[in-house]
Amino acid sequence: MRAQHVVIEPRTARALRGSTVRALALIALGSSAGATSPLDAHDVRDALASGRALAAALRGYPVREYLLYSVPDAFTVKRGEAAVEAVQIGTPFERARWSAYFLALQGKAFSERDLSTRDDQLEFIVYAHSRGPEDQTFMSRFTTASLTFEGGREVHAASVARSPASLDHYRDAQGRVEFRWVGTVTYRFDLRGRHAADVATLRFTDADGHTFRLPFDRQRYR
Amino acid sequence: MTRFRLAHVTSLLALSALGPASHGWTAQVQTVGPTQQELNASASREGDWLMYNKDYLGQRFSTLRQITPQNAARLTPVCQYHTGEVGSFQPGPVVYQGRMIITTPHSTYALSATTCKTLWTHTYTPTNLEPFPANRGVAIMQGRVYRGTTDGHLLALDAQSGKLVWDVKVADSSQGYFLSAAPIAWNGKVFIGEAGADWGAKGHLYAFDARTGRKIWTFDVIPTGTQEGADTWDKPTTAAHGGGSMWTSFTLDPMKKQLYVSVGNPAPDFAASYRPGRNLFTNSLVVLNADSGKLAWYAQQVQSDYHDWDTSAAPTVYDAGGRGYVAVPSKSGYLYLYDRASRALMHKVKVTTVENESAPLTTEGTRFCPGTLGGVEWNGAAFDPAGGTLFVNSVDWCSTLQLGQVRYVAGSIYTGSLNGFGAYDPIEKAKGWVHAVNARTGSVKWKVQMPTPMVAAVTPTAGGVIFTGDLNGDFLTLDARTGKTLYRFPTGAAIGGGVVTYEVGGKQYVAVAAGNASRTLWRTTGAATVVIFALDGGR
Repeated sequence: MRAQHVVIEPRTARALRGSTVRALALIALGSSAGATSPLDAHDVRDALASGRALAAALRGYPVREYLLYSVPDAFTVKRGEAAVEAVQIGTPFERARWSAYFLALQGKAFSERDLSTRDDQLEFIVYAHSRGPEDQTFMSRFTTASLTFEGGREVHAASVARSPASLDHYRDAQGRVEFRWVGTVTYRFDLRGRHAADVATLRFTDADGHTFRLPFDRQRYR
Repeated sequence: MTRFRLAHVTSLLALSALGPASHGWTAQVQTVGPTQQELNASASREGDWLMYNKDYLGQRFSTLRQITPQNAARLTPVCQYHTGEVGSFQPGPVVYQGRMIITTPHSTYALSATTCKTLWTHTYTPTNLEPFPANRGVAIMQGRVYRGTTDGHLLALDAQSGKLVWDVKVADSSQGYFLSAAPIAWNGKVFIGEAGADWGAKGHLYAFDARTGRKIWTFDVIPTGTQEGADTWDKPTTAAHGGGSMWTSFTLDPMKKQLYVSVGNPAPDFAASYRPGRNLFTNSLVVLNADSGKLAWYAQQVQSDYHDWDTSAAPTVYDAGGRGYVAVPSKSGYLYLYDRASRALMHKVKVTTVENESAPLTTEGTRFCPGTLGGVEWNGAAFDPAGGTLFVNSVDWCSTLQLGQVRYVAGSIYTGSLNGFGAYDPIEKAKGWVHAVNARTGSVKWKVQMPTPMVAAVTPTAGGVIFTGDLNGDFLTLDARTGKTLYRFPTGAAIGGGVVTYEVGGKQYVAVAAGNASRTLWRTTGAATVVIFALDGGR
């Protein structure tokens, strides 16, 4: 199938324009912040405690503050709508918090040493579903991703990880049950030694040929 | 799947030589029955088996005593009734005045309970999606036959002719709802509830006017708003697709006009973090006023479930040692005995292997027992009042579920099973149990491990035997005192339905629904068939 090059203009993009201005102002003032922020001991302790508390609460893992893109209703499948439900930025702090959450949820013993604390990496997690109940391998059709920083410099994802697909049910616009395969595609960027600005655009193409361009301001995310 | 709708009768060679049975179905057909009086007396009516579990209390005990441990080896097939269909076959046959009614997912068959001769057939054509084609049987009352359909309708048929009397759409099957349970009928009402939790449905129990099909009341088994139990869904929005299926049938205490309902698992099945809270009334016994549908009381067997441990089989109401009990079997592997007056849990009896019941799911996979196809499935316990004994079949088969981040919903992500309903242990390890439990103390009198999962009904009699069957297709007669197998007959088709006994013309018959074929889950085969037995073939 020929890829359709569709620019997804998410709601968040509009909101980001204001913060982009603020970020540019920071750069103009001589900010030397890198693409990632190092985690100090306090951050790691905080991530561990937060993850454990979230697991104990059994209310799911909140990512709202880390979303670059999301559909308003992830229960419903709409004709012609991209199969991507959400795109989340995974900062070093957030990834450490997720590690703690996921380990605690499994009842595993762990300490700060077991948490993911790579402070030179950024991850982007794409939550998506297949077009139909037969398309179990839909994630294999996601392209790799790139980050384009202010000034046009481009960095490609160092790795792409695809989760196993699990079958789940959705509703169509009439409320009928529709089964879809569900999974995540995780793009990991290695930003070691790079002196990148805080404002960039994530670009990737999903299983159906929709190209996403999602601007973000790294400064907004702990 | 290709389905064959030609129903025909095949007498066994042994029977063919004997000629027609002496007691045909046409002799005393009473089209206006069974009356409410007859239904109220169903436990003691030796000639009939009037509802899924024989009587309103769900005891399944027959007072017939012709077949005993001493003569059970003389049981011989009288006839077989082949529906000509292949697939799910789990009905509890009902028998009234010598005629038997059974169901398949789409068809209803009336046949002679002594000769297997076809009386009539009604075939329903679904008008909407069929989430899960299964049906567990009918209710009969005052000349009518009531059954649910795979696309969420409730039908009333004329008991004499099989012609459709009314057809009511109960629920929208395109939203995951269907009616697999055998309804029960009482006092002018028909009670039925939906299944569909695993498809994201939200269950309801209904009472319909038996004469017209008009809906009389609805009870939401997933409470919302100001309904009692709504506060057990910490995130109320998750109750919208909260699950709660009614899979099998229902129990009723006519004296107290109370309806006993077993409610299945919450949805999504394995993502407990998606729906924090106890998730009432999933995995619960719910007791309602049968006239009004108002909640009387409830008892939850498994809260915040993440193993697919439904309370699916109908409960058994009985008295023992001067106390009123209700026995509630569960896929969790336990038989729960409650005091009906105090509503206290008196005993929790393990009836299969239970391991890792509270262990969290892990990415590497967590093996737990019973697995998602384990414990007590759709057929529940039976009660022998003379011996004060509960008999119950169970499945001993474990599963391994792998945890993963599976779904984004409204600003959060949820974890659950990455491998569907899990990886089952090798089929060779799938076994079953028959337990005899002291109905008052909860102690196990005896237990027998069986070579296959045990999902068929179990039927004790005053003759001191119990009838059941296994997934190898063996019809079994066991000694009620010891569990020893007295008689075994290979029907050639996996037994996952009802096993009933009744008397016609002075002879005790036993009928078994065999042929529950499931190539994906249970890996069982065989065509949907009813086999009828009697001592010496009914001669």
